[in-house]
Amino acid sequence: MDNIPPPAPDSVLLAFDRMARAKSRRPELSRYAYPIAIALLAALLAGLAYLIVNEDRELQRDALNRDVDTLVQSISLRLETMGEAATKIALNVADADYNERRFTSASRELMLQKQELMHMAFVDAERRVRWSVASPGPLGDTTRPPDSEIGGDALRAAIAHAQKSHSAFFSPPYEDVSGPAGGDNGSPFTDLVVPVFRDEVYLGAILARVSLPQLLRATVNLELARNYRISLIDDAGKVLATSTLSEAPPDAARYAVPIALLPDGLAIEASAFKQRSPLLGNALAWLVGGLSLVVMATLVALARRDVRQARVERVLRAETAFRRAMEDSLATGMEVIDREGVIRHVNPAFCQMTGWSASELVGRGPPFPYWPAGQHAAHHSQLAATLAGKAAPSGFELKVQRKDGTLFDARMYVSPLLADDGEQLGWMSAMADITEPKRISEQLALAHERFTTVLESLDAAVSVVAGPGGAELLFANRSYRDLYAADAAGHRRLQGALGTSTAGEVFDGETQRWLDVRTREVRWVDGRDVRLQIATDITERKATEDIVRQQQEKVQLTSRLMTMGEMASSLAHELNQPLTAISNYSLGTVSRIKDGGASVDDVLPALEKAAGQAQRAGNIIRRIREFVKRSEPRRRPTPAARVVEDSISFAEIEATKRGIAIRTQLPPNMPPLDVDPILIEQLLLNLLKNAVEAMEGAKVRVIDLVVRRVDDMAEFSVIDHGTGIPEAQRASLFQPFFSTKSEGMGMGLNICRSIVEFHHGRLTVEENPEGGSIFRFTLPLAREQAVNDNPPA
Amino acid sequence: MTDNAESLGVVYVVDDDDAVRDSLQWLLEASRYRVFGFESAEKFLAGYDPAAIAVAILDVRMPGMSGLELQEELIARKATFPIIFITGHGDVPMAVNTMKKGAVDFIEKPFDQAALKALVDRLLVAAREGAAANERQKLSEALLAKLTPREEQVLERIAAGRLNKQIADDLGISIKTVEAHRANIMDKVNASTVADLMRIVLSGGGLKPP
Repeated sequence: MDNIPPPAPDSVLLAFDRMARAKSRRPELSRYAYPIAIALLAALLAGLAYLIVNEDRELQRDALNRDVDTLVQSISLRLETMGEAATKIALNVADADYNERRFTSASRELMLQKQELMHMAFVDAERRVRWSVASPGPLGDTTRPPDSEIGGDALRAAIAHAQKSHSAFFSPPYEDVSGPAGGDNGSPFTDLVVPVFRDEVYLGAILARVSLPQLLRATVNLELARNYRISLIDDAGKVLATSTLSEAPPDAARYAVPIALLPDGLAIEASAFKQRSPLLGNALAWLVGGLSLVVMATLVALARRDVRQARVERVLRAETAFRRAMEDSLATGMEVIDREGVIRHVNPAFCQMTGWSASELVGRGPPFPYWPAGQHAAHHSQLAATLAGKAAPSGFELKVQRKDGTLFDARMYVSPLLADDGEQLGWMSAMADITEPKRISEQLALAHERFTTVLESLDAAVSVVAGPGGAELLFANRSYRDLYAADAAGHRRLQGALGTSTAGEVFDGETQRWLDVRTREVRWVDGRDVRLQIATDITERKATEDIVRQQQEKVQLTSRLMTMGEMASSLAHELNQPLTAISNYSLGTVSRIKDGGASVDDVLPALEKAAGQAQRAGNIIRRIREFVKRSEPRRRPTPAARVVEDSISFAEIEATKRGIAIRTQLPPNMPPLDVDPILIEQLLLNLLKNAVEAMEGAKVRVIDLVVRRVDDMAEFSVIDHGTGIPEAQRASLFQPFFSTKSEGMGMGLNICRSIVEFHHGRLTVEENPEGGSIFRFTLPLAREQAVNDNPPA
Repeated sequence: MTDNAESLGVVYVVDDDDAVRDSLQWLLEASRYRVFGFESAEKFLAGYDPAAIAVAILDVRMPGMSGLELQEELIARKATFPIIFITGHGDVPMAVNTMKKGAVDFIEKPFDQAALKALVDRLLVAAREGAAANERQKLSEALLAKLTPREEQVLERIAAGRLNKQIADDLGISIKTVEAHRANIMDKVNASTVADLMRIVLSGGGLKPP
């Protein structure tokens, strides 16, 4: 598997997601409301529960207190009544006629009423039991043995106390396990001691043994026993009797109330057993709790839905924003039309391109505002085709009119707009402004045309070949095709002739032409390396070059004539030297002879030297002669055009430098001249140069060279528009050494005339009516039978 | 030909053409000039006598240093021979140039003997006068050099035609002092009259600028 790097995180989508996240952040309220509400509710519930519990606890405590108070009251009442009854009996006992039987029955009666009484006894002043009555109740067979002495310090103290205080008195509690074996024999006990007095005389006391546990049992009803652990405790908190052996929970509510009647701080202590759950038992609490839970659950559900909603919203937003961004950033205009052709949607690019706003376009049916006026029919039919589903998939071009009236070219591509279920809702058009591309392609076409025109009109043969050995001809212009047809063979042949160089002059044997061939490796449009070759036909040029070369050789010979001025000048100088020497020697000799006394020996050397100088001069003359001989004129048939062209080509250099044009007029069917071409060229050149120089500062900067046939002569006219030649000078114009130029030697026109006269013609000058001069000369035409007549040297 | 003890003057001939030079020498010697010929400007510069009263006949066109260049060189050397140029044709602009530089005349080949003699004679006289003027100048300069700066100041004002009183005012000295200076000046310069004094000043090429 190739190492395909993992796709980079989708930065675009992430960006939209981030923005959407920012936008669809749940409102602060929503984010916090739910938790707060739930929290509040929970707090409320907790508070409520707490309150309920608390109140219940309070109630319970109150109930406890109340119950204990009530119990203690009832116990106290009971003990009181017990005391009263006992006291009554005691009073009775004080009667003389009270006897044991009466005591027994009274006691039994009392003990029947008060089951906690175990037995009653009458003890005398010595604390001896006189009478003893057991309780008819279940535990009542405990008796004090008669005549036994009351033991126990506590009891004794109690009796003593009762005696002292003349009032009934309960003894401190004591144990006595000598009763019915096992279990609960009613211990601990307390004795009610009622002193018996008869007329202030202490007779003894009535003891009524009270079983504390029984007392409790008698007084503590079922309900109390169920709810509380009732205990009889002493000062130290020791439990003497209890309603139940079950312990109350350590944190149970307790309440103790002392029983005033009983001694030793005996008190009833009640501990509440685990309360019934105030909540669980409380229907209202259930209701409220249930409702609250429902509300909380609802809130939680809402909160979660909110979160889910927000996420969905965020994703949706991101998605939508992304798509919207894509649509908005499109450079292509988008337009949706429904099945009836009404515009339903346009994107910003469409509005921008057409200049119409969305509100101006959406909801409009045809004709649309961007249809150019006057083209509605065409647009209508295009729209009809589109609605019928016949729009070309490659799009169609149309002209669109902007709101400001300007037009532009557009291309539209239409595709059906399909809903999710495939139902077609309308048409989706994409519009692109092709003004620029159109213009470019037109320009390109034009450029191509220009290029092609240029290439095709080139005289040079342009060809491009590719492939090994130049097998494939990729391009050839007309010039090439004319020469070699549409075949790469010609190209190859020329290339072969070039060899390894990239440029050169090649003679093509097949076409018998000289070609200037240049080649170059270039990169073709498809990336290939191809060879471009440009071959220019230089056959004519070569021929011309040959002629020119020959001419130049001749010119070199004739240049001595051209520089005759300089030559003559140097000639003059050269001749002057020996001449001066001869003169000096001669004059010197004459002087010496005249002065007298010059001997032959004196003057001989000088004379000899003079002779030598004469020879020197003679040599110079000889050289001139030889030179002149070489340039002897040779006449032959010469086309007039040739001499005209050649002399002009030399004169033009100077003429163009001065901005002067040379116009020629030459009859087309001019027969050849019978002249020495070199001399005539020299003649023409001279006249032309004169003309150019005469036109220094002239306004009309044209020299006319007119040739025409006059009988059997050719008449040449060199017409300049210079200052002209004054009448006075015209006469001496052709004389040697006449020159109007500061540098002029004055030989030019003289020579010109000589040349013309050599050819049996005539050279004249006249005034140009338009200003300037006209130099006219005639030359003979060659006869039919062109014979080269060379005059003897 | 009789030899005079003193020839009429020295003529230098500088021309590269042997025949022309030799023949010219022949011609001039017939008029009794002492002629020295040089075949090039360089040879001439190496061989001429600066003290001689002489005329130089120079060919304008020569290989190497031309006649004109030779004239420049002579001016640079302060050798003030009068010069006769042998001209060819078309030398008019050149002629003007050489005249400006102080050359004296031209002559064309072939030479007119009488004209040549007259010219040489004239120029020799000029040469002699020139030499004499030089001598006078040197003498005057030497005399004037003896003056003190103050005396120069006074002399300057005397030459300007100022009266003694004016000179005294100009220089802030007394008339008596001026008169004393005058006496001294006359003495040093060996002039007896003011005219003598002026002559000396003029031939000394003027006074040095202050």
